[in-house]
Amino acid sequence: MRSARILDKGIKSRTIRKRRREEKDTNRRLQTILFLVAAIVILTAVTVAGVMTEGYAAETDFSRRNLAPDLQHPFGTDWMGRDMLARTLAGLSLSIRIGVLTAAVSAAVALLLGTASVVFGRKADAVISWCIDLVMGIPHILLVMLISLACGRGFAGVVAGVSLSHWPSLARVIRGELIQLRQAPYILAAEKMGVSKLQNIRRHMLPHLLPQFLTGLILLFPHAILHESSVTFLGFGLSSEQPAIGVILSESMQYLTTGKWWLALFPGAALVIVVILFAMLGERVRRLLDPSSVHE
Amino acid sequence: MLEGHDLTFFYRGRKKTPVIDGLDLTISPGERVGLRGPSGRGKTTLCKLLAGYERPVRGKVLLDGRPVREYRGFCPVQMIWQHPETVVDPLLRMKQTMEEAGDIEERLLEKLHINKEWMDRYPSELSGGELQRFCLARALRAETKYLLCDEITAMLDLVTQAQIWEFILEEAERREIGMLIVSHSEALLKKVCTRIITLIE
Repeated sequence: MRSARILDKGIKSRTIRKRRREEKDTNRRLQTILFLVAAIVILTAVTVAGVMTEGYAAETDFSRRNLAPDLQHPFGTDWMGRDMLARTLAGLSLSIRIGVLTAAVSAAVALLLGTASVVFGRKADAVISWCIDLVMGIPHILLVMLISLACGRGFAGVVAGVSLSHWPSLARVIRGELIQLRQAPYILAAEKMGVSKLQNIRRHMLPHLLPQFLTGLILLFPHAILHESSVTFLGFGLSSEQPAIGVILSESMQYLTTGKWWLALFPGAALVIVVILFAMLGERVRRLLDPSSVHE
Repeated sequence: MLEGHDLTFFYRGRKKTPVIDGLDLTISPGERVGLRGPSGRGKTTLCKLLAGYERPVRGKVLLDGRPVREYRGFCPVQMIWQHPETVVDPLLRMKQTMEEAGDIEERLLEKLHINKEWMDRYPSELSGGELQRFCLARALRAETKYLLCDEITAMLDLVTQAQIWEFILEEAERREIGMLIVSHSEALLKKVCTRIITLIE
């Protein structure tokens, strides 16, 4: 009688504990989704705001040169009297747009080459793997600079440089995943059950490949943005009339020594925040889509 | 008739040490052939060849006179794998995996003691023995003529082993299914097979 009651109590507390654990898990999932939405909203807002303030960012007014940050100009003004907040927003917006474009191109290249190396046999695989190793072996920044120079700098140069140098790591991931999937017993067995090739790709391959691809794609953004800014900073990227973060930072270098700290601090910090936001976004998406936690 | 003629197979880059070298094997309907041999002698590879998963380097596998790899749709030669957790997609619920094999008779599910509730679970929420029952159920569709069992009960306890083999034997006898049974257990082979062959070097 007593032992039965103890047993009953044990079961009850176990179910309560289980329920609590489930609640915590759903909370974590919900939190992650909320974070994703918030991050996307912030990044979109910055992009849109940058596009809208582009005109104002280029406005020069020599009556308000080199003002330190105050209420009217929270980020201060530069040596031509341009508002630094507007310039920073415009620069970030341009960076994000370039990042999205280059990441999309890189991901497309990676998907194509990764698939090709699995579909077209061992010779093609050897060639593509060699290319991956080659591009990965050259320091990114060097490659971006060279390609950007060869393509005539400017917007086209930067986009070409960044997108042609960032595909290898994602291509390697896709190739590895596909090789594993092609030999997976559950796909071979499904074939023997009479499931067609197309059905197999849709039912068994895409759900395994998509999370990897999506995560890789999002994690490309921070790299792309940082490389765009650095190559512009070094003078091999966007031209100096364009409101790019790299341009702002390299200009501010000349004024840093005269005590105009706000010229570099705010744009630099803003860039770092955007990059971190993208990196966290990718990391959260990865955790959300991870096969081992798919039914948490 | 499931025939393997002069089967030779080696894995890529191991031409000098073929896993299977010039093997002949015939399984007729209703016959249960036992296959034994030390580890690494190509028992699983032979199953894969006969079921059409791998192409032999030399020789051919014929099912009723036609190469087994030419059969489209559901293959009448079905293999049950040693590790059932590798042959079900980890991202799909069992229900979805079983749908691929078409309609499965209620009777089979009942005989194999498959719980209705398991259908809504993911493979990671089922044990090896439970998954193996699903694999058997989907491989025993009405079109199946030959069943290749690669150590299918090695991970089960004795009671379950006996249960499952009893069911398989009954089913095979009734439908005249030809079987190849791979096992390390001498006692099991003697009990269920009509003849036993040994793979040696």
